[in-house]
Amino acid sequence: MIRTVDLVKVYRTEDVETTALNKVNIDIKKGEFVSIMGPSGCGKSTLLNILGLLDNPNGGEFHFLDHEVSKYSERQRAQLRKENIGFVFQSFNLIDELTVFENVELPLLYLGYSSSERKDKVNAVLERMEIMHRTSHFPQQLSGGQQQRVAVARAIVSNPKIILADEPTGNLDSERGDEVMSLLTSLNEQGTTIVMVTHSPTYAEYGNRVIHLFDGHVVTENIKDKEKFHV
Amino acid sequence: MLNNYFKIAFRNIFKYKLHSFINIFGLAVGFASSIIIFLYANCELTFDAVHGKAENIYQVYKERITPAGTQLARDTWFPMAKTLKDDFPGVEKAAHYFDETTWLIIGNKKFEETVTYASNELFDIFTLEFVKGRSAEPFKNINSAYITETLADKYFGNENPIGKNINIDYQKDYTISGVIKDLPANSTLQINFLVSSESINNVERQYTNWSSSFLSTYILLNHNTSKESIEKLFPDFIEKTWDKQTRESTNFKLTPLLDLHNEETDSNQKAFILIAIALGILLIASINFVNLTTARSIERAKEIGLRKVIGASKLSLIQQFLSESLLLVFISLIAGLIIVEILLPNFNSLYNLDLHISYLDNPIIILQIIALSMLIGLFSGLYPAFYLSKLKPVDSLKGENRINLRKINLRQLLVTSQFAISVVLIIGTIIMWQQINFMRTADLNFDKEQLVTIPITLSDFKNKEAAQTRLESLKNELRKNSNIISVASSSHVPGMWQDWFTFVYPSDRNKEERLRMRIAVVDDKYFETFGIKFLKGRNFDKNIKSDEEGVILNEAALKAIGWNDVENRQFIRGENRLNLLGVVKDYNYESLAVGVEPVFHIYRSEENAVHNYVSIKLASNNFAETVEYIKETFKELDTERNFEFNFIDESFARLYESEERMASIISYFTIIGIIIASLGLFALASLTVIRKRKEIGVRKVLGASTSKIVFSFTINFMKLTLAGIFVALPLSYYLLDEWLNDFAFRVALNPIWFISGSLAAIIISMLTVLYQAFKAANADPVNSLRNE
Ligand SMILES: Nc1ncnc2c1ncn2[C@@H]1O[C@H](COP(=O)(O)OP(=O)(O)OP(=O)(O)O)[C@@H](O)[C@H]1O
Ligand SMILES: [Mg+2]
Repeated sequence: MIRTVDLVKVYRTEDVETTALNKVNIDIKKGEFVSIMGPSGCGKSTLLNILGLLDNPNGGEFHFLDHEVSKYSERQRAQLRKENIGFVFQSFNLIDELTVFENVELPLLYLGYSSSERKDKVNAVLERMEIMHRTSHFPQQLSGGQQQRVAVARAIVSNPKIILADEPTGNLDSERGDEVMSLLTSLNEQGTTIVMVTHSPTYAEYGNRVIHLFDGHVVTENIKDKEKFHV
Repeated sequence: MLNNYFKIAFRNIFKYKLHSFINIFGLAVGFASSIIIFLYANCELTFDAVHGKAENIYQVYKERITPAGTQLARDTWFPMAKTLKDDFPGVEKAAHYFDETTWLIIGNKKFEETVTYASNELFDIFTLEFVKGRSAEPFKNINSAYITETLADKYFGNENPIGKNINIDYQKDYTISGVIKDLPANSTLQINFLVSSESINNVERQYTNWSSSFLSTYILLNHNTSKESIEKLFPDFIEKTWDKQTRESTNFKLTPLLDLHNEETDSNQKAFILIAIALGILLIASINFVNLTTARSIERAKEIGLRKVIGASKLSLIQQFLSESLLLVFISLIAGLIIVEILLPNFNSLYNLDLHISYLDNPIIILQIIALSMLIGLFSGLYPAFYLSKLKPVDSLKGENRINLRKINLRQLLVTSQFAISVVLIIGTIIMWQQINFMRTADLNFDKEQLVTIPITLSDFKNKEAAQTRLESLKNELRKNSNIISVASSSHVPGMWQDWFTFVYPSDRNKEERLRMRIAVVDDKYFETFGIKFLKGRNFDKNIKSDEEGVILNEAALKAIGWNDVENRQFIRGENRLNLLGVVKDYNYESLAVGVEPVFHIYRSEENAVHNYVSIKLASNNFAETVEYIKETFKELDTERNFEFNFIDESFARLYESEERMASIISYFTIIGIIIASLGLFALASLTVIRKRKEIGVRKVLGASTSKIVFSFTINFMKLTLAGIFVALPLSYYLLDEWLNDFAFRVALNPIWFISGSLAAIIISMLTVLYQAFKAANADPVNSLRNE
């Protein structure tokens, strides 16, 4: 599903050049739940952003589904992105001016669903996230855990093939964190591929596999179910 | 989708109330100002367009070629219209008219009105709409009269005016045959009371009168006849009608009706100045819009990033921001139109205009207004839309704004141009008022203070025989008052000078060298009463009989002839030989916008019917009392004319009304422009404060003083102000020098005006920014850091 060959990302500012990713090779199969760990500044978010087609690498190959996307234009990436990927962030990232319902509805709007279809899908996913009673609230009126559930709802409402989560539990207490993790697990059980960045070894264990990054390259890959995924 | 965009837009409008207010208020006021200006300019630029056939209507005028240059005159002769119609192929219709202010007697009431005497085809050339009494041949009956709706209402109220009798000047009776619609103010032809020019006394004599010109002549040309083809025929016509010599010294030409108003008043220049100001104000308001939208991009960045992450394409984001700005512009437009409805009546009464938006009569105007606002919406929305949609999703999610740092130049450029426009407006306003003030207070080379003029002439009396003695006794009565210094009679008075020209040539030259000069008839007290100074020779003397054949020139006339002395100089005027008696200093008889032309003064004793005015010089003490005395004395005159008097200084002040009107309109719009620009600056500064709050907090913690922070904050805005001034100075110098060059007497440009205009801009911008700077500098650093 996702395969990178010698992926390189360099950030250039006026005076410094930072190599955030240095020849990263990873391979993620359909249905996997992959955790990415590593010290701060090692390039986790950078990798996730590239995997999520939010950013282009400077070198190497990147195969997403059946496309070689490393040289794709923003327009092409946007198209692939909205059809296949859902995002969850550490800081929830909901649009403050939109209600819970409108936030979750947004991806469907960009995909061009009819209003009745949108209504059905949004209600269904909000129900599943147990946030139905808050549909007309604005993000600031919700607790952090509730906001993150809305963010997850928004990520999955369009049935993406893959969900990318950057420290989804980072701003939550352990109880809310557990909730989000079980949500992700159940999504994975229903077939959604999940790539998650986390600092918590406990939560990393929820995945089938943990990728350790250090200074922009992969150090170890700890594969739990080799039998399941014939690497 | 659009729904979603508007939802966000509305919520943003309410969330950022101050900015929304500044945006909407600025644009609304900008729209209102420019709509009012456009209405005014449109009224000027479409002058005479009410006449359906205007494109083929021309006025005939003449140019005299004199040694002092060509002189233009628009008065023509009685037989001209008929001759043009009969002898010039391609002339479909021709008509003439002249106006006369006279008495209308209706029953036992009398009114002073302007009567228009016109020939038949006036109705075929101009668009005169009948309300009542439509007629194919309006002057079939030579005593038919037509009045406007307003006049009909004034005289007859609800009664039917048709068939009523009206007498003109106790001499001739007319019957009202029809009522015509009032002509709009932007028509050269203005009619109150219209009668046939065939009905004047001894009209037969006029049929061949090619010597006195007192009418305006208009022709309607066939569609495929050009103006030039007619003008080509004039030289032969002139020679046939007059002589070869006249042919050499005279051109006849045609002015298209649609150009006439502009040629007479330079109205297009005024209209374009105002349109430029309107565009300037719109530009200022649009720049606010662009700046506030892009400056707020930090707050919007997260939303934009998120939308991109979720799948928004760049195009859909551009659509979103464009629809947002169009929405805002649309709200502003509605607010602007409401402001127009509120202000237009005031504007109209202030400037004596009749502007209105006729939404129903003229649906096109709605389209024009919407097109204008769309244009503004696109203009001010497009850049922010592209700018915001370009933000990288990853960066914007982090709340960083890399593009912002690099592309800040555009915003600086925009603010600079706002300053430049404001400074040009301020300096322009200052200089316009300086010029007007100069004209109002300049030395006119005569003493205009304590001078009263009463318009009165022998024809103002019903009893023509008694008129002369009554006038004489009036003047004698006046002279008895010790507070009245002197009393004069004359055909003309400075400040209300009418065009009257004559042809003269020096007796030692031949007729070909004749000059067209302004002529004024005065008595022996005129120069003394007005305080006009003699340079050479002497005044008229009523005891010297031959002074009836005397002439007094102004300097300009002496110069035009090329003489240095006055001794033994003679002129030929028509059949008469006139002796040059003296030369007076050039005095300004007209607005200082126009120069002093050669004036030829001739003498008639004060009893002569040619005199139109009695002018009185008062002593400076007991002023009001003396005026009261004049009023009382006038009452005994028993004339048809109501007592009316003018102070000469006030008459002069009135000459500058059109300039003052223009300057005051511009002043108002300058103030509006500056307010909008300052509001924008204020908002921009407040955004900068928000952005720099953390930086300022850190600096304070590290020990920076308030004054240092205020300084570093204001210096940036100061630079922009100075850059704007730098652009504005040469621009305003150029524009205003051009403008001043149209005045015969103009002020020299004074650097002080440019400096004070610039200082005003600096002070305004500093006051605007300083408030924000102090607010930022005085904020508790702990708070601003914690708020991060
Ligand atoms: N836009 C950028 N410009 C320049 N350098 C950047 C940029 N984004 C990230 N970097 C640098 O790239 C490196 C990797 O950053 P990245 O955000 O991927 O780290 P991370 O592993 O997600 O860290 P953390 O756990 O703190 O979130 C860091 O050294 C960072 O300074
Ligand atoms: Mg990170």
